[in-house]
Amino acid sequence: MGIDEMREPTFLVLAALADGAKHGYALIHDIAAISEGRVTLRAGTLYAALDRLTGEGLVRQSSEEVVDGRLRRYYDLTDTGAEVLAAQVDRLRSNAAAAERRLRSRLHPGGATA
Amino acid sequence: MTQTRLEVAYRRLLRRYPSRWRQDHGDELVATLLDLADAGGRTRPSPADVVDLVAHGLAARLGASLGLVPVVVRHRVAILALASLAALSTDLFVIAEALPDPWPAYAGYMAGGGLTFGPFVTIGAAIYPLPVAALAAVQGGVTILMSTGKITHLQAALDTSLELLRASA
Repeated sequence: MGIDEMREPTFLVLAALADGAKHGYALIHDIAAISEGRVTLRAGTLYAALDRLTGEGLVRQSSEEVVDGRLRRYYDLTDTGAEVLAAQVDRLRSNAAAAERRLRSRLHPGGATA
Repeated sequence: MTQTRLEVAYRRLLRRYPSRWRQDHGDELVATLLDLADAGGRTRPSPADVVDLVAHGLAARLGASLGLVPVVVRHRVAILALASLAALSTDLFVIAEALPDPWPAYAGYMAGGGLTFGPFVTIGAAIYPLPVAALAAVQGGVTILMSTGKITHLQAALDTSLELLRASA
């Protein structure tokens, strides 16, 4: 996957892993928090993404434990994953800044542009 | 820990995945589903989870991730599938209810085997309209979506159609 086409759920999975390894439920919770409740990944969607990102070398399984009979497997960003995420953050920031500049020039061009 | 009914239901849905995938990720996926169910006070898989697991299970079998298919294409395929089901149901309804009985009763055998329903010839009359209603609900949702731009309406329509399809399954 080129970062050009990185979709929002993928970005949010990488972002949620950026501050440390997490298991599935914690990831879904954190992704909802990061997106301010806009994105709630379904479990099947999350594991499809984790499977794909693992295959692409952006994410790796780090450890696992069993809590109340439930398997919690933790996932972590690889160095490549961190680089790809950082590049995508730069890209989004640059796009957002450009959009903001243009919006400002639309709103304040001498006060009278429709 | 003994399996709860909910866990059994989730594991049944996971049969849609290839066995290799289940071996690798089945336990952690079920654990996550159960954690989510606990947090949401849920005792049955939600229709949305059913669709999510069936779709991704199928995608895993096809060796492809749904993430590789653009959302627009995915939605178009889903709508086409629903439309096909609705058309098939309409045909079956006409064949079963309106056309003459192709196997008239003979030698004591009663056509329909007693599975009649109100004024209709077969109980299919109660089932076939459901996919048609589901498609109508989606179309209604899309129409409202076009006029209001609110995705929640489409989701509500999709939820309704899923309920209808589940009722017919």
